[in-house]
Amino acid sequence: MTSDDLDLLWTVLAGTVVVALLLGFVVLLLVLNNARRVRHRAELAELKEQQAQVLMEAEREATQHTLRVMGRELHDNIGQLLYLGQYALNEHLEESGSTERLVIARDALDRGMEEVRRLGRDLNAELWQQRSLEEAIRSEAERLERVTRVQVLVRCSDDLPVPDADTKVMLFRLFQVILNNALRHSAADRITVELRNARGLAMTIGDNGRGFDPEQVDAHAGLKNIVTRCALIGYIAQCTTAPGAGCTWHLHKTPNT
Amino acid sequence: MLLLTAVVLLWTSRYAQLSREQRPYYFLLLIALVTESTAFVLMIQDMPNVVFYQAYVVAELLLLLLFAQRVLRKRWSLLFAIGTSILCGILLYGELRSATGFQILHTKSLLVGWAAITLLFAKLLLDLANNSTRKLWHDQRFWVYLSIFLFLAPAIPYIGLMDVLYQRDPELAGSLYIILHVLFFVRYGCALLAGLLLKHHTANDER
Repeated sequence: MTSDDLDLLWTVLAGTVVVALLLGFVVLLLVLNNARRVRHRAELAELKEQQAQVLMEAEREATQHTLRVMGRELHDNIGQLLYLGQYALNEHLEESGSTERLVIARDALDRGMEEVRRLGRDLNAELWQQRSLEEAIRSEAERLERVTRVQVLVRCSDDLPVPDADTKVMLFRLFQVILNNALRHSAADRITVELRNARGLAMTIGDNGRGFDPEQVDAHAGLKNIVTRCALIGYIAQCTTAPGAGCTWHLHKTPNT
Repeated sequence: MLLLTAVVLLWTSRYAQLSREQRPYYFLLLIALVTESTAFVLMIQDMPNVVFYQAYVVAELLLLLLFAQRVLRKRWSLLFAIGTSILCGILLYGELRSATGFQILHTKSLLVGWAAITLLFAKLLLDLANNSTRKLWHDQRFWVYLSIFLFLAPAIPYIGLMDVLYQRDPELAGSLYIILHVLFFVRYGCALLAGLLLKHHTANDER
């Protein structure tokens, strides 16, 4: 190999090294930028989740406020009006003697007053906060049994942990949603609710209805909503169902929370 | 020169979108076009044109230091720019006094200046890659910085090597001048892309 060839070889080699280094640098830039964008996307997702939680909180406060106002209205105004009606009816019955129709009307009024008082009590958020989740669920189950023909069985273990306020509200709301779904779609005549301690409060709601094919209704907004809401309080929602085999929801804490 | 003309026309048409930081870069493009045109006319008339290139190289060095400093806006970058300018000035003065048949492309001062600018633009590119939440190739600044970096980083060893090679094998050295043309093509190609992206760029994008 001559000196000229060697010079050329070195020049080509040096050029190749420079080009390789430059390409390496550009690739490094792209990798760094990609990592930054991935980080940015994660930050955005976290922000979105925080925003969703704030919105949910605001929604909950607004709902509680409305319910509180309604409860007070029911108790103070409508309750008083009904009491006046009841008083007048009793007076009339005492003065003119009882007729069968009036007695029926008075009994209906008595029941109406009782329902209004109960509703007022249930809607009162302060009272609701004093109640445990178990009490709230039992009360709702009783109400459902009264107004529908569905039997609602509630089973609770003795060592139930006390969830924080947000978790309690969310679990109760989920219980209502799942129950409502069962009443509307399953044609079930028995619903069982089980509360137990499984490294945190766990809830299972099952019905003996017609069930459904999860593949076909997987994208249903209602089902997704249950899963999303659970995630907001660090819970996992799992639905076990098949056509003709009823439907069971298991809500339990995410293992790492 | 056609590519450079296209780049200057494009940047001029979008001058309104240009941020304050990028103005030195635009002026550099303008000066490059004026220098190339003048040198071309002089070459046709068989007149010496080297002095224009020498003046251009000095202006390029200063404008790029100003550009990098405007974007970085740090105390160290200001000191770095001033230090580089002074060092290059001293080296150039020494080389001017001692040399006969002076060619700025063959001076150490130019290589020192280019090396400093390459480091600054590498830093700008790394900062951009670490901070930009857009895809890098959608970011106008990426192409601007890359145009300088991809030209100067290989030009330093090329020019340094060329001096040695020219003494040993002038024919080979002459044939390797094509590399410089390729580097100019890459540089103004990147500038053209940056100009095309200029429409979507806002002044707020600068750090």
